Amino acid sequence: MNTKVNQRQPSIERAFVSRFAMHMFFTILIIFILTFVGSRMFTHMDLNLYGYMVGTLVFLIGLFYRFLSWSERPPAKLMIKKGKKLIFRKRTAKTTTNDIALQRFIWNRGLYRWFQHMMMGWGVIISCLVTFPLVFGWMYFTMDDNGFYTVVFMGLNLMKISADGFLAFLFYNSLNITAIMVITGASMAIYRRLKNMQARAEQTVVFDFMPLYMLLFISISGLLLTVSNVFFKGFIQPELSLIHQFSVIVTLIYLPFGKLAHIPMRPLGVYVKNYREYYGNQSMKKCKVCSNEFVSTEQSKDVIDVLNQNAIEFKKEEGFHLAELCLPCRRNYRISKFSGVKTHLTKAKEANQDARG
Amino acid sequence: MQEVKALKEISNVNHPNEELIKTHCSYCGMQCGMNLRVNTKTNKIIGVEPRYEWPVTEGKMCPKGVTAYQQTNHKDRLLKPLIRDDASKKGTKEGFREASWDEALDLIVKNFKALQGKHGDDTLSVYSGVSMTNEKCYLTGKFARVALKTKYIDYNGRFCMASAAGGSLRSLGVDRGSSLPWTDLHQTDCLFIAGSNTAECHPTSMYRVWEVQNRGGYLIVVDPRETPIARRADLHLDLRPGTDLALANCMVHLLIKNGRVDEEFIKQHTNGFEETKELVALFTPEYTSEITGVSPEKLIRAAEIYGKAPNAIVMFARGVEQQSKGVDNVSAYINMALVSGKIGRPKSGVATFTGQGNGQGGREHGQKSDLLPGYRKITNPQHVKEVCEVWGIKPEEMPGPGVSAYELFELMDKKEIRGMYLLCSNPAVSAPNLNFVKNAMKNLDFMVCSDFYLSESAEFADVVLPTTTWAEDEGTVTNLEGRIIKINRAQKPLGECKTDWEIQIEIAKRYGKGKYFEHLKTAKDVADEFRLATKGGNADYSGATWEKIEKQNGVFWPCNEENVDGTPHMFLDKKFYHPDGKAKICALPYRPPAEEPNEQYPLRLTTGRVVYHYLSGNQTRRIPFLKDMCPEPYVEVHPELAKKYQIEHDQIIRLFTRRGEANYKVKITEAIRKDTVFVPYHFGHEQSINLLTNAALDPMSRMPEFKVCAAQIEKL
Amino acid sequence: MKKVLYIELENCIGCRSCLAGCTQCGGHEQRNRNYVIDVNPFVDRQTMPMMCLHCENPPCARSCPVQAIQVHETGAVLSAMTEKCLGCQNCTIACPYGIPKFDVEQNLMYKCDLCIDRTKDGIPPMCASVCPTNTLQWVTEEELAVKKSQFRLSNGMMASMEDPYLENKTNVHVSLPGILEGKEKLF
Repeated sequence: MNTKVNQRQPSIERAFVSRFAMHMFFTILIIFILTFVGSRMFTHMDLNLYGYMVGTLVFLIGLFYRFLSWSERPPAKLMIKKGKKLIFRKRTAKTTTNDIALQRFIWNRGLYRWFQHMMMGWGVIISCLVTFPLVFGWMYFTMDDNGFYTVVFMGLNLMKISADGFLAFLFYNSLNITAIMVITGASMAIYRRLKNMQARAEQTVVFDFMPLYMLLFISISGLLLTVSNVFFKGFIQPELSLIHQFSVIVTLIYLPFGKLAHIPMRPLGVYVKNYREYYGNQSMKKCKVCSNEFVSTEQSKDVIDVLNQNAIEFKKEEGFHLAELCLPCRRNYRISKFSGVKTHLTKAKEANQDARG
Repeated sequence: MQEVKALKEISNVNHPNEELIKTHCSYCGMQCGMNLRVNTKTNKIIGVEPRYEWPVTEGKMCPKGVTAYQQTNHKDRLLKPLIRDDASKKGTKEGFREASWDEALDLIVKNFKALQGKHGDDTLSVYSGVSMTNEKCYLTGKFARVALKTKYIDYNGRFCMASAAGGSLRSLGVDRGSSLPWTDLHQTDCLFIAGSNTAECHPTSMYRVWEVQNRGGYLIVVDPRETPIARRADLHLDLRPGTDLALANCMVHLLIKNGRVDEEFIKQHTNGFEETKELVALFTPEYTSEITGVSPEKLIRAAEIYGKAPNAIVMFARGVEQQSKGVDNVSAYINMALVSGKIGRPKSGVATFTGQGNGQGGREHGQKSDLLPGYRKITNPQHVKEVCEVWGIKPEEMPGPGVSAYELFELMDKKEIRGMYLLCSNPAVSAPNLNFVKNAMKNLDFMVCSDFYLSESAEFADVVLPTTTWAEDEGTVTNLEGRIIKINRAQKPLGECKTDWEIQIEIAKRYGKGKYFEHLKTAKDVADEFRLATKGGNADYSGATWEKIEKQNGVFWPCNEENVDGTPHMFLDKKFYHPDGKAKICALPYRPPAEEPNEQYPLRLTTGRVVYHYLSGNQTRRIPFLKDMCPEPYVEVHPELAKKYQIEHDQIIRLFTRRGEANYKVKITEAIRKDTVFVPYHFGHEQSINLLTNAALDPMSRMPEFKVCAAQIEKL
Repeated sequence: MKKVLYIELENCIGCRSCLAGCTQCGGHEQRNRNYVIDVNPFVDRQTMPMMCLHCENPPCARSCPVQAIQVHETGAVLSAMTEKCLGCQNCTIACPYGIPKFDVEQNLMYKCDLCIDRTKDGIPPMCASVCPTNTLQWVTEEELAVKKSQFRLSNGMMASMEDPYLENKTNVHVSLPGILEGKEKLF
């Protein structure tokens, strides 16, 4: 993490001891303002949920710590900088739909994996979208006498719904539904990890299973709350509530540091796609040996820069940098170094290197 | 070599609900050890795991071996018997319908009986192969002679090992491919390898070959092409195809001239030295160089190295054997070991690289037209009597000797043979002069083919029987060392498939010969009768029980009462298997190949294998990895020759001989002689190089001359 | 006892068993991650395997914006973590040897992980297990030292970063072709 105060930094940053402090300050400020407005000057706060508020704050500290230190790494910094500039391209919407909403690339890894991931992914996201507004009082319900609820969002009366209606059912049971989604997805994932030999080969208990168990724990304890309320007249409800709250807070704190960190990270995939498409259309790099186009000129240059910042330089006596060769030529070039034969200059096509297993 | 943690301790080797079945590869004579991964719930083979503790190959496998397991549950597997009612569709894939076993077997017996009733017992033929267990090979011989009562049985080893067998028998009195175990190979001081593309055909030998060089030993390779093994050899004798006999005679000549002969050994343990000495005197380096195209210096150097080497092994393979003088070539190379006395001791000897998985065992036990189990001769009344006792028939019931594989097709053409039962082979790709052979098969009145895929040959059949892959049955095979090893069953037969021995017993029963076969209920039963039948023969397997094989990692034959544990090294007592106990040094005058280049056909065509395919390719062409790596045949052409014909790399040209033609993509390489072109033979239909090859047979082994004929190229 | 992958380029016969073996490793989803190159295809049959050399300071990992490429405690540079990899392909451009492969459909990079499920338990990776020629070997450091002293080549003994042969320090050791050069013969 960069804590040095640099004279060239924008003036606003100089007001803080670090970027981390600045980000924390503004985020808390925004949440405070939103909450102030949303809860009608703190008049509609559900104080039962204050534990979550504390948890969220700790989570934010972790998140900023983790992501700021990450974003200082040269390749990340570069990708963020260029991605940001390109965010308003038309393709952003399409990429977001395909990659984030529909997770097409996981579909290509297998239907089972796609389904489990959609269940877990959207289960978690919807849960967050419901929980956070409730915690900070951005959304609440008021009951009128005529059997209608008013949904209040950011201090505005969003809509009136019948207490017995379908929408009300959805609102009340939203977390139960997402819990079932997450339980389905996480169970499928655990099953796959236990049965699939290829998954087994790579996984570790702490990294791959723990997050799944955590999600399961949250979802089941949450569901039990409902069960207790509906069927057992709130039997051990306070204890359950505490357990559930505790599990959520622990998961929130853990989230930026483990496998679940990919949730806030994945949207950057949109940056990456824009980056590759935009610069690919601008100009493609021709391999310095065979003249085939293999990557955008920009990316080839960027990778050379990034490696330079890591004190790695692959400049060759022939006058090219290795990142300026296409992959087959780069392999053949290495073989030419090993063998003394100018393999990269022979006209033969590279033999098949991707046979089906 | 490498110390390995016991596999069962390692979680990612042993998966839950999986079992590792120890077995060997289905393909070549190396019979590399492997473990098949089997899902214990579905009883399906799902993968492979190296078998590090197998002493011959130590876990190593070629790409065929790695992917061999994919054969068993392949989508192309035949699962039910197929019958074709419309004989006009013969020679195509069309017209087959699925049928029950009863219907198929009844139809076979009805037609076979009708043919025999009309044309005599010998109108039927059995054409077999040796990519199957000893037990199956043994039973096939018994089935042909006892159930079908025909003398016409032969097998695809005629296109493979017959010359090696003939040469070894003549020179040493016994035909065990290798006189020493493969584990000696890397310890010797000189390897003299003729006509073997070892790196592609027996890749798992290669680490031992390189080790000889790494230790400071020598590698001499005789081959018209600079194959991957020749590339690294100390000496590459790049002879013209079909001139081995001259080269071998020259070697013997130079050994004698250099005084590198073991006179004591020659006197005590061999016959025929003097005549041979006289004959080879002609083969001076200069004269031999004219015939072979190898420079005299190289010849001199090769003889010098082999002569000086304290220990040396002479090895050869199809390159020298698949010629119209294959047997002579083999004997001539064995002469090198005999005159120098480099045989009958560890780290020295002779060996042939057996091509098929059970090429060794399969030829010993009665599938050959003139042989009975235990390498007994069908022309020897005593031998016939011994076997008849085991089989329970009278000696006069035993049919006489038949003819060789290619000659079977000649008889089919003449309508002397009208029916064929084909198993474990694919002659529609592997036989020479295919236009003739295919026509002969089309001419048959009735043909049965047993295979697990619809092979090119099955396209000529009236009934196709679905049999099992190697992993669905158990039994023994004999690898290229002469080591009897055990194939284990990893999976139950797929669909309605039956093993070949079950099929034969079923047919025999319907033939009214049940009493000779009914007692055989399991593969083990067949194995027990088979061992009994070999007792007292040259290839005596009587002591090689499955338990012993398991216990001592295979058993080398001979294994009878005297050599209880088997015989890894042959001739240690310097006793050879001729009646006088002596080996024969053969005087062999040079003969050119049956077809020499002329103006019309100025090129020499030679054929061979690629590392990704096995034999006719019926198995390997269906495996995705292997198909991706080598999807089609090609013709290797030297750049100078290409220039002469004005053809370029990847261009498609027409290659033709007096017998046939085919179109191939050109592959330019300097790793071949300028007067020779090469095409791999694994491909079927119009891609088959055997449409062009010459069926000139060796007078002794009846081996066709696959390795050389005269050809011409035409631009398209 | 730590073992390392050691490549003796001279031995290769081009059978591509290492590619086939690679597809059969537990975590490899039937896709090979290594290469075999024809050195001089119109001239001779020489081939050489091109494996991931598992750099000590891996450029692929250094160029990854999301730290999806991890280095295992054994030194193996692992395949991209599926949940992290964003598909930018920086690694494929950064690798000086052209090793990482990219699956466009799955938007995912994959590369040799030295069969980490096997090598972490001390058994050889699939490529070195099946290699019929000992081109790929899984050796102890002591065995490697013997190899280094055994092969005295005019072009240096082993490929190293000081020579022009490699770009950096690697965990995989490579001996250059020509190991028989200057070999003392038995007789």
